[in-house]
Amino acid sequence: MATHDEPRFEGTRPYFGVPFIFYSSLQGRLVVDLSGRPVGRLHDLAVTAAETYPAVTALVIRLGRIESFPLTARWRDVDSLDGRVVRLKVPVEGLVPGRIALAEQAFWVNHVLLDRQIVDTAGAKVVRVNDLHFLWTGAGDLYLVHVDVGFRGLVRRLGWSDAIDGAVRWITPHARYLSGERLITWRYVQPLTLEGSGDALRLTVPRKELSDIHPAELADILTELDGRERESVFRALEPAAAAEALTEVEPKIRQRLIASVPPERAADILEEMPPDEAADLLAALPEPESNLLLQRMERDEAKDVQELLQYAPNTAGGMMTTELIALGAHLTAAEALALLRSLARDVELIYYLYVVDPAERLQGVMTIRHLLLADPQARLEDIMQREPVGVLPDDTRERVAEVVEKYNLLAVPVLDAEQKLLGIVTVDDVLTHMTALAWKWKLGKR
Amino acid sequence: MEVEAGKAVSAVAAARASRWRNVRRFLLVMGPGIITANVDNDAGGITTYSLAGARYGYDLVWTLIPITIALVVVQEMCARMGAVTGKGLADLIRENFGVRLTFYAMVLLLLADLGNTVAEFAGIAASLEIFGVSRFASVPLAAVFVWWLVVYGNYKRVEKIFLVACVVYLVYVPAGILAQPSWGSVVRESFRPHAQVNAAYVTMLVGLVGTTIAPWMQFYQQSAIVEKGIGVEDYRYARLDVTSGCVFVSVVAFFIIVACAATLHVQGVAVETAADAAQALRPIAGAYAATLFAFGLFNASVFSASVLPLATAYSVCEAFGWETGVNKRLREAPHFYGLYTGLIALGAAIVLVPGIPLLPVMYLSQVANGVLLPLVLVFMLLLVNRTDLMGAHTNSTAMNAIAWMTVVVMIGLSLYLVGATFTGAA
Repeated sequence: MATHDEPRFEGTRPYFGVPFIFYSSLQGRLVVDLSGRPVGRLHDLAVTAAETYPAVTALVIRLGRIESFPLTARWRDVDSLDGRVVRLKVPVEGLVPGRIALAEQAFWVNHVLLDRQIVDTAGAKVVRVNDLHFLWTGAGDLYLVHVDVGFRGLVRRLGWSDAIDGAVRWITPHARYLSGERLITWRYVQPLTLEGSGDALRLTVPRKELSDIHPAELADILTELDGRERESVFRALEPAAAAEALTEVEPKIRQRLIASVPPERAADILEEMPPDEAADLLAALPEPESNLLLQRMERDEAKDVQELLQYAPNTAGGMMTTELIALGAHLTAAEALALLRSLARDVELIYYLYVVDPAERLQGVMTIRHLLLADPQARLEDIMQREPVGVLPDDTRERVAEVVEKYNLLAVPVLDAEQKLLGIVTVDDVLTHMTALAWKWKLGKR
Repeated sequence: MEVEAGKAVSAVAAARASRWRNVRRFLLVMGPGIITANVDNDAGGITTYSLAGARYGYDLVWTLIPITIALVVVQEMCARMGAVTGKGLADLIRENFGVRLTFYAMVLLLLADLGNTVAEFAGIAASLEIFGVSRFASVPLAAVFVWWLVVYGNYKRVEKIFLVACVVYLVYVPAGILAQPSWGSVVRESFRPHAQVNAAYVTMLVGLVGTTIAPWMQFYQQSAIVEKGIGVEDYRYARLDVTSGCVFVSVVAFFIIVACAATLHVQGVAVETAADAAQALRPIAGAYAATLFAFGLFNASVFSASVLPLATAYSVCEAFGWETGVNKRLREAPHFYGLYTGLIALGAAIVLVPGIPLLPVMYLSQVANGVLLPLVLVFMLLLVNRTDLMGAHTNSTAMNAIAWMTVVVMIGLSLYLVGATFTGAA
């Protein structure tokens, strides 16, 4: 039970002794000035996202029912929130007419959060904000701590919470509805509303957490978002995260996303992608654009991609990657291990080591297991398996799948007529294609 | 000279290639506009057109021209908003006009569309009863079919089926021709605006306008554009899609009115429903015309019975931030599937209740439509003129003039309809 000298807050619930307050109960509250004269009603709040939890810095007071004469008050001029009124420490003459311009990282909650879509970075979902949850400290500061995305928040905004709560309590006193707020901590909230228009679109508050989401989930989020917001989220990502997310989204969205960033940045992202994925993406773009991007890429990466671009996408050549570990036959197992250690960082699949002669013709193949179990002084030509299985660059996807399945491989080398090692097709790319086929066959879906 | 000729040839080839590219792009973009417009010619629409023809002959044919213009203007704005903002109309309304207005708008939309869905199932029942199929077989089967189609089909496939359903509407063209109208007076009446001043005539007029421009269409049109991923660069093809869809619908409406006018009106046969009209056509225009008429009604009803609940579920979920999409699992999007299934089940069940008076249900839905439409149109006009949303793609002055005029006329007609419904004049 609350003690007598504790202040009463309408619409709040003490939680570990600290009062929380919902935006729905603040918005529309009567604002009175120093002398108790009514000024208007609270209409909007400005918060600054510079800190972990955004602090409220200003409030907009609306005079009439129509927002023709807004006044802005600084939050530090707020005296108390007792009862159903916001009491100011200053006279009405001390308020700024109109809305003030906000500093970098600060925003109006009505414009950026309320009723808008946000990304819940912990749940990796796109959700709509129904209400906001503030913390009111004894010192008079108000911090935004949660956004409410639950049904109860919706009911609260509609102004029906007393009636609905009462009805639910009467029917089932312990209903989940009564205790089940769906609040998301501000730390896991990525706002999406954009400022400016035309080319200057940017996220109001770009958050680091977005890059921490698993690429597959990030791809789902990107798919779920609407055009402009999708592009701005994509632009806010680091090139590495952007590259990973790109490999996971469907081809149509992929092309749009890469076209939405400046060429320099697009080239950076392409460099981070596995060469086969980058080649697929470039192959789908109109020729002038793909040439431009190739020119902007680092020479080595561009060369790999260009080699892959000459093969049709549904052949072994089109599916392969040029990232692999090829070693000379004369190396010892110990030397090979040392080399592997230095190469492993940049290569997608390191389980297979391909042994080649000076003309890059494939001599044999071995797995890391073979290497680890071998005598450190043994030469690779003595450990390796001779006459390895391979496919031709023009072999179809189905043929590649057959070989992978028949020999139980994680990757199959692609060789030209002279046995020269061109690249490898990894099992994940084979699977992507085969599961798509299986789904199509089973459900008639895409 | 040789070189010059070579240049000319390659220029021709390039022009031909780019024309083909344009055609191909249009075929890719085509769909949302044509489908939305055709769903508009649903059971309610066909009934209204039949009655207009049977009661007033060619007198109301001229209204199709202004109605088409208004429809194109309204639907084009939706398509443009969808392409430019990448957001559905319910999304935009929620973000810009707040949760309360959105909530009440969605309640009205649900009511209106439930009524419309009941009308579609009534249309299915009536049209198949002409062929001797009991409604207790046809309605549940149709309900299961449309539910299955959307839940287990993907957008691409469903869209193709819908486009085929659109072609079936062409059956009304031979039905109209078989009725042997006097084409001279048809053409004369089409371009001669005139009106009678009596309650029954105005009610019919309001019915025609109301059935052609319905609120769910704006929501569906915009969502379909967004769902299809049509952006600003493809917008001109989308506009062609919308315009041709609206014109197509009016052509179909024209032939329905003409078929009924040339036969039922001339013979003085009184009919109350579209199924009545089909039955009445048999002795006058022959068995073929009657069969085509009934089959068209069946097609329209099934088609609309699947799109309408879908459009409603999409809009409501969009507005409240619930997961949507037919590619989601039931557990992932419970609200979406709940709404969709609920509308179909309830719509089908209401039709099957023996002796249920369908008229009050229709009236309620008509009132909800009437109240909602002006609201939606005003929202749309406010949104489409906002440069922060639309950039360079806001309405031109001429466009705004036509649009606001449409809004004012629609508000007037809707208010009249709502009033008439309450006073029982309708």
